[in-house]
Order: sequence, then C-alpha cells, then structure tokens
Amino acid sequence: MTASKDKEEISTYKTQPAEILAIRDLTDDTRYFKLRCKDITMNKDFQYRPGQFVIFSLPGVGEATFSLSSTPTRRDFIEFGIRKVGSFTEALFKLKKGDTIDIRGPYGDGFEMEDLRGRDLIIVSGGLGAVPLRSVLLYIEDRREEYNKVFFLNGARSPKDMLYKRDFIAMNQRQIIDTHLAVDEDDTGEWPYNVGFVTQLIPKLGELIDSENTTAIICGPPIMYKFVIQELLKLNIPKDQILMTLERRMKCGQGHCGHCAVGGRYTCLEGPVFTYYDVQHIKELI
Amino acid sequence: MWQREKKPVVGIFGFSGCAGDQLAILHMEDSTIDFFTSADIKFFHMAQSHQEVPKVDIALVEGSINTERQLKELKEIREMADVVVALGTCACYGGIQYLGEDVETFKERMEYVYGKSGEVPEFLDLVGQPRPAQPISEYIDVDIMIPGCPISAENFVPIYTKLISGLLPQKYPMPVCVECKYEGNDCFLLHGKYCLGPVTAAGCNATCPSIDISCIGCFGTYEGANYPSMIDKLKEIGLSEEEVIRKLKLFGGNKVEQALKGD
Amino acid sequence: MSKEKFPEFVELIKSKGKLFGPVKQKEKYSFEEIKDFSELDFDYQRTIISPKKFITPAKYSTLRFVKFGQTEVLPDDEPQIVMGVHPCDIHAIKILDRLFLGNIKDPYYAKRRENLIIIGHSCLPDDKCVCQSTGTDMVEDGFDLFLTELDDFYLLWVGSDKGLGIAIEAENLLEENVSEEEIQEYVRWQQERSSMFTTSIPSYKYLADIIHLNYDSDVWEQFGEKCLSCGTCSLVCPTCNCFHVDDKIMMNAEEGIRERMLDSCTLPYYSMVAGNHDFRPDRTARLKLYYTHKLKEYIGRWGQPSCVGCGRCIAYCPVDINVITVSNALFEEVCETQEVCDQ
Repeated sequence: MTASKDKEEISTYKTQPAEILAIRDLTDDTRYFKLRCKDITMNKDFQYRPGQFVIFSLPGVGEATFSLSSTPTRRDFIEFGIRKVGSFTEALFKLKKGDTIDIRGPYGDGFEMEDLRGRDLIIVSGGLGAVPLRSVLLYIEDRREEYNKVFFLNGARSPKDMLYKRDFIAMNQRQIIDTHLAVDEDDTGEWPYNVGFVTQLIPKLGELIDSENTTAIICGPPIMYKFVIQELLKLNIPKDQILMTLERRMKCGQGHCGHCAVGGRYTCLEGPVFTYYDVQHIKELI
Repeated sequence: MWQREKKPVVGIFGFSGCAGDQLAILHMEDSTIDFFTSADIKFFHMAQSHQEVPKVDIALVEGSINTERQLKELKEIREMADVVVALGTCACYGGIQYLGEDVETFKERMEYVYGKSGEVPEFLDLVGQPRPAQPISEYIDVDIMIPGCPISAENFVPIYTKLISGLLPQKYPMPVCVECKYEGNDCFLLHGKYCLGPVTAAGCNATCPSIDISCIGCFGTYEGANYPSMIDKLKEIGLSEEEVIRKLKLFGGNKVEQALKGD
Repeated sequence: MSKEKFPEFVELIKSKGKLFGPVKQKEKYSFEEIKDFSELDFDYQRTIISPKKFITPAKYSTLRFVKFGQTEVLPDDEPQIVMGVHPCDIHAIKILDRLFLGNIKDPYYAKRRENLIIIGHSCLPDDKCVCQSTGTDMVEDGFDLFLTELDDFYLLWVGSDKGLGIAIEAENLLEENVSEEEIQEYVRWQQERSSMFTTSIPSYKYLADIIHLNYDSDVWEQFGEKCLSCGTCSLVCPTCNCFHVDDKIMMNAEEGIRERMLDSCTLPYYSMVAGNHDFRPDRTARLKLYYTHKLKEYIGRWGQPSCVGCGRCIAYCPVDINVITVSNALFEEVCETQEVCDQ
C-alpha cells in the first residue's frame, strides 16, 4: 500500500457531470450526498477502492476534495459525507436533489482490501473519520466471508454529532461486524452504547485478536491518531499493519500543486492511506 | 457555472474618507455597466442625490467611523444587511486618519479647535460629535475586507462577484511581494531602498513597484507579516525605528498598532 | 560558428516562432520578447524569474465557464523560443518535466513545454553561483540547441530533433568541422570556468542527512524569526512549481475563469485544510518545509535534490535566508553537536 501504483496515464482535469440523487442531514453541519454520473456508461468505469477521494468542481465556486463513503461493491452510485466548513461546502449545501456537480477522480491510493483477506481487522474512526471508513465497513459487510474477526470502534463528541448514526446502529444490530459506538459525552442521557473515548475500547480487544494477524485502520481528527496508535501498539499490532488516512490541503489531486506534501510524499498520490510504519519518522505528520 | 438564487440588493455607503473607493467603482470603465446590472444597486452614496437608505442584502461600507452619527448609521447598516463588506483601507484598518486616534491627544485637539468644552457647537453640528477614527470592524462584525487606497478593480471584482452570486470568497493572504515577483520586478530592499511590500496585503498587482516606486503599504496589513524582522530590515537600510514605525502606521491602522503592541 | 554570423543565426531562429531572450533592464535581467538582435544581452548571470515563466506562468486560466457550460482553456499553439538559457535553468526545466510530465501529465504544462524551444547559452559564474556544488554547472540534455561562447566563435550542441532541424537549416552559417585547436580552446575555457567558482554549499552530498539530523534544531527557529513570509524564494526558484487555484467570476456574474497562480509554501494559509486546521501555522514550519522538500525529500523521490545552484535565493531573499546560509547554519550545528567538522 506504500508505493504508488503505476497508474494509467491520466492527463486531464476534465470532469464529468454527476447528478445528486439524494441529500440528507447526518448531523447539524454534515450532510450525506448520493451522486450518479449522468453518463451511465461512466458509472461502470468509475472504479475505486475504499479510502480514495474525488474532487468536486463547481465552476465559479472552485474545487474541493471529498472522501468516498460508499463501497465499490455496490455499483451505480457513489456516496459522500460532507461537513460545512468553508466557502466550497457553503455553496455545496445550497444544492438540491437533481442538481449537477462536476466530478473528477478517483484519486489517491486507497485501502487494498484484497490484501487484508483472512486477517482480523480493527477499524477505528472518530468524527468525520467515519466517512472514508464507512466505505471500508460496507465493503467488508458485502464480502464478510473473506475476513476473519472484524471490530469497528466509532467515536463522536455526543450522540447528535455521530455521523451515519442510523447506519452504524443498524450495523450493530446486523452483527456482521462487531460494532462499538462511543460518545465522549452523553448529553441526552439516552445513549444506549459506550460513553467515553474510543481509545478506552481498544485494550479489551487484546484477548480477542491474533495480533500478528491483525490490521488496524484508523481515521479521525488529528489528535486521535496519537492515542489510538499508542493503544494499538500495546496490543502488539505490527507497525506496518496500522493503516491510517491523512488529510492535507490539495488543489490538483495529481501530485503537481505541492500543497499536500508531507515528508517526501504527496498525500494525493501515495496517500491518503499510509501505514504507521511508513510515516512514523515524518515529523510534522499530525 | 454556479447559479445564484437571486439578484441581491446592494448598497454602497460612505463614511470618513476621500470616497476614492466609490470613485474607483465608478471608474472601472469596462465593468461599470455590468456593475449596475449584475446586482440591484439600491443605494450608492456618491452616485445619487437622494439619500434615503433602503434595505439591502449586501452593504459595501467605505471610510472610517469618526462621529457619533456615523456610528449609529453603521450599526443600522449591520442590522439590516446580511453581508457587510469593509471597502478600502479606511474601513478595514482605519486609514490615514487612524494616526490621530490617540484618545488623550484627541481631547486636546478638540479643545484647541472648539474651545474649553471640546465639543462641536450645535450650530456647526451637521455630522454628529467627532470621535477618534476607527475602522468599522471596531464596532461591528465585518464579513469581508477589501482593502486598498483606493481599491483595485482586479482585487475588488472577483470578491464582489462571489458575494453577489451568494458565495463566500476564498481567503488566501499574499503579500505584495508575490504579485511583484509575478511581474518580475527587482526588490527595493536589496538596493538599500525602503519598501513595505513584505508586510502589505496583495491585491494591487504591485502597481507601484512595477513603475519603480516603493510600496507604501496602502492595501493595509498582510496576515503573514513579520513586523519585527521587517523593522530590523528597514533599520539595516538606514531608517530610524521611529521612521519605520511611522511608515508602517500610515496605512496599517489598528492592525499595525496591535502587532506592534504585541511585540 | 563564427561570431559575425550570429545575428543572422538569431534571425533564422526568430522565424520559428516568438523569440525571447535575456534583456537588460536597469540593474536586472529578464527574459523578454526580442524584436531586434541588439536587444539581446548574453553577458548576464541570472534573471530574476527563470524560464519557468514560459511553462508555468505566474497566472493563467485553465477553465472558462459561462452560464450553461464550460470549456478547458489550453495554451496557444504558437511556438516560443527562448535563447540564452543557462545550464542551471535547463536542469531546472528537466526537474519540472519529471514532475509535470510523469505518470500523470499536466495538460497545460505539457502543451507549453511542447511548444517551447530551448536554446542554451554558456555562462561564467559569479559569487552567488553554486551550481558546481549541486552538479548542475554543465548540461548534456534538456535543450534543443546549446551555444558555448568562446573568444571568436560559438560551439553549437544539438540536443533534440527540433534543434537538429534548425541546425540543418542554418547549414551555411555553421562550419562543419571543428578543428583540434578549437576543441583545445573549449577545454581551456571549461577549465578556467571551473576554477572561477568562489562559493560552494558545504557537504552538499550529505545535506539530506544533515537536514535529517537537524530537524529539531534551533537553527530553523532562528530563520523562522527572520523570514518575512514574502514568497520571493519560491517565485524566483526555477524549480518551485506549487500553485494555487481560484475561480473568478466576471462583473456580469454570468461568466468566469478558473485561474491557476504560482504559490509559495512560505505563505500563511499554504497547509490549511477545511475547518481552518493549519498543519504549518508558523513561519518556522513553513520554511522548514521549503528547505527539507527541496534539499532532502526530493532526493528520496527523484534521486536528486531540486536545487540547481542558480543563486536566485541568494540574490533575491531580502533577509538572506538561502540555500547557502541555511546549509551553512545546519552544517555548523552538526559540527557543534557531533564534532565531525574535521573529518
């Protein structure tokens, strides 16, 4: 997952129009977007892996990068979870069902799901980190027999801040994946699951997994990585089996604009998925 | 391209300043007609004779606040407008008149001009009692700042058109030096001449350096400015600290004041 | 080619497209469009902006959009010829080529590059040239033609098919055989030139390691305090290519362009992501990115640092933060901490 693949030559910034099939609120400031390429044949060509991202273009507004939140195992549409945080998303949130967004991509080096076959998986997300990891989770649900034990730990500030709460509660009930949902603080008093940080849930997994045969996948706010990685290392999970996705400013998605450089790597080409082993010596990582 | 929901109502208001920013809008020549058609310009202080203030969505406010009445009017504008834009360096940072904002000496000056009471007599009071000049952000929340003395069309138009399209302009602070190098100019600082380019916000297309005139900082402060290093550099080329600070304060207004206090 | 024939040669080149070359403007040199041979001035050390301005211009549009539609804006097809390009700048273009014309090609760069004819020119170093340290003082490819200026004549190297085409057309201006004496003169010139370098980057070979060892050194802090965040270093550097993208709507609110402009990693919002989280909020971190990316990380990626020793940062940084002062300071730091100076 480290070296960038020899990708076929993509030589253009050409976008393709995609129609918004559905929009719904995930939290106060985060929305779910479901898109489909207008050119039906393009949907078939739109091959991607969990962890990859797409660049949206709204001429007049600009471009911005968003992680894919859907799984490639379910074709004909792609999904996103997007938080309103800046000028682009401010505009994006004004769009309605049936409107068109120009998209290009997918970009980045995602998770190699095939390589993880037969392994135990610990998937840890916090806040917006649930967006790209939802893609991983749905992929696993669809091909559950290919993987060994799968644990999903998801943290949010409070019940109302949890993205895909509905999806994840359903996932918990389906029990295809061992799902643990946690909130830092339960202001409703009615949260039926864990209260506290996701990091506190990790030690309990120690007895359940075969650490040599375990891969951890992390995505969350910058502060989360340090603590989660510490806990995972305590479980003796190999450093090269801790996968994490990083967020950086990006303009081009093609390794040209320079903004996403971290250490000697371009997040948009070799990332956003990195192993902890690869990046542990990069000083300004998180 | 992006389709806006409606054509917004825009008002251009002027407080204390030379009105050069309003004039700059009227002088855009190629774009002036589009300016009056692309939005519903309901109020334009300089360009119209009747002065009733209508309800507007976007208020472009020029000038600093220098009197009680201006302050009251400014607050009214903030109340009714969705977006308030500080137009020009006076509105953004206080402008040249901010040099006289010192409250103590302000009182003295008032007494010197208007006698012991230090107040403008009623028969002369056309604009309200004076107060030390302040940028509009001192009193109200400002959504967007478009500095310049005067504003430049190249900088103003893209920000303004985003606003009238219902969008938020992207903020990416650059100093004059970046535009100066876009133009391929030599650097004054390297030839022992002063230039405020490194501490001044871009937006002018390095107009002055391109015709061999040092930047005097009329676009106000650059967000990434390093004042201590800039002051050292200017002292190195022979300016006294006092001179340097005077030059920085000329257009830097409250932002320079804050930055210098912070050090 | 004898020197008398040079103006005629330039005329011939001019017929191939828009000709640019070094022009003296007051104290500075700049690549400008050449109307007449007399405007050219090859006796220069460095221009402020490198020939990167022909392939990654400061500002250009990539997309034009109207109310219902959009079209990609590709550069004009008109060939551009740039004369008087020094070896360091040719090396820099080779570095940019690798980045922009690799697996993923940048269409705007590719088009401009395709239409650019590079005619190199020999040079003599001044006290700011460090290309000998960086190993970019000579160039063997990356140009279409290269002229070495000796006392009475020019030696002409052909570096591409396009260059060969011009050379064939200029057949009657060129002498077919180079005499032994002329070769000797060239060798003498080459040796003399090599001995003229007065400035070098200390331990250039080990610079990547030195930077790595000094990642947390106070030296960065000291430079960070001085740095004006003015972006000059990036804009004058012939290998800096970062760009920023912004959409601009015209005054009629019904059409607009997507514009790309050169950026600098020393600017405050360079690494800021949505939600205003800034990965490099202070000048020190940004400056460190500039130098580690250029001198260390590039080696890991491309096998060679992206400094070509042109001396522009040395000449144009207003506060003397440049490849020499930075590497000197880091080198001294290593000496202090590791006492390896004498070795």
